[in-house]
Amino acid sequence: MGRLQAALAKLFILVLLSCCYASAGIRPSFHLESCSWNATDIVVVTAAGGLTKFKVVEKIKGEFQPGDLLELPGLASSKGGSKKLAELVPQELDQALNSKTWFVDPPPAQQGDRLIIFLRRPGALLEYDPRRDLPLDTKGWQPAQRWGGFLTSAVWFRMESCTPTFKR
Amino acid sequence: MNPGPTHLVEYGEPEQQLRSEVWEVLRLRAAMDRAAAIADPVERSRQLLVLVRSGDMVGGTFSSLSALRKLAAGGEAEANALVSLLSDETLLGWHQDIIQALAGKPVADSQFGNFLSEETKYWAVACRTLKPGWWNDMSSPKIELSRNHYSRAHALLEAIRVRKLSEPIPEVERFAVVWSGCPASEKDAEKDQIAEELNLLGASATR
Repeated sequence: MGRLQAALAKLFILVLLSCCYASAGIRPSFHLESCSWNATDIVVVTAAGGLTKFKVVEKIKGEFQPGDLLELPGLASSKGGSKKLAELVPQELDQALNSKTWFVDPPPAQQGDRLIIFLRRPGALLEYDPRRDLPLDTKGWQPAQRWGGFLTSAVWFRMESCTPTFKR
Repeated sequence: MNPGPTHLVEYGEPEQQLRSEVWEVLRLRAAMDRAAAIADPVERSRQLLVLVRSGDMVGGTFSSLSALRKLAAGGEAEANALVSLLSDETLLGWHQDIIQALAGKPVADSQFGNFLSEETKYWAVACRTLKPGWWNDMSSPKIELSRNHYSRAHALLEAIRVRKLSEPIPEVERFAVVWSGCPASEKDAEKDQIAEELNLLGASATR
């Protein structure tokens, strides 16, 4: 999607959120600065068939090119079925406070959905690692953040147009 | 922060805003990569100093922390750069991190004594206006300033202790005298971290 299109389109953005400063009872979350700082590659992708395959539609940083395919088992959605992103997020306050209604799986990518994924290429360490004393997985493509896996190194987008033709 | 499992929520920012912030972080990150690649330690330190000062920008926390870590890993040029930062009042909130980065560097012990003297002067005045439990007194407009000075003084004392000086420096005792007249930072607390550090240094800070 071009910059102008992105500016004009009304988008529904969702993240798996919590916090990068892990402590008791606090779970990892998406943190834009941490993801952007430590990513070797940042790409916008769409689902490319199956649960784990994604097609690059835009490169923000790194060596991927549009059309490249990525296999990311960490983003495989096993729950949610055909639900839309908005349906997976608690809409009412009482739902938001009730952990039983929280969606804790990677959201299923539907046609038209896009993801920004923040990646570390194989072998890459974190540029700034607050916990260098802990082991860090560098085998294969890894999420840019230390904690939370791909759930906290990705942002899911859903197009929400003003025209009914694009309504999902 | 959200207690409990990581779960899906609405981000609350338009895509354009998110992209703009990503690019701001990437610009800082590129500046970091360029600075780290400079061979000349003086010029490299100068560039890293600029990045330490980026703390208020998007991505600035990582930029500052990463630059400090690189300066901490360096030699004399990097140590001089770190010392210069401790005279910058606008970076007061970062002084604790800067002092920790400086603790093991080739810096004259007197530098730490000089900076501690600045804290003695600050607290000699500030303690007259503070009340017991001041740390949590959010009604005071200067509370953040006092907190930052507290962290700075504590980091200085810790650095002095870690450096295991062969001779006690008189600035510690002077600071201890002033600190013993200060109200407790937390109500009902017998000792605070600074008093504990002073005790470890063999200086008395009895209220």
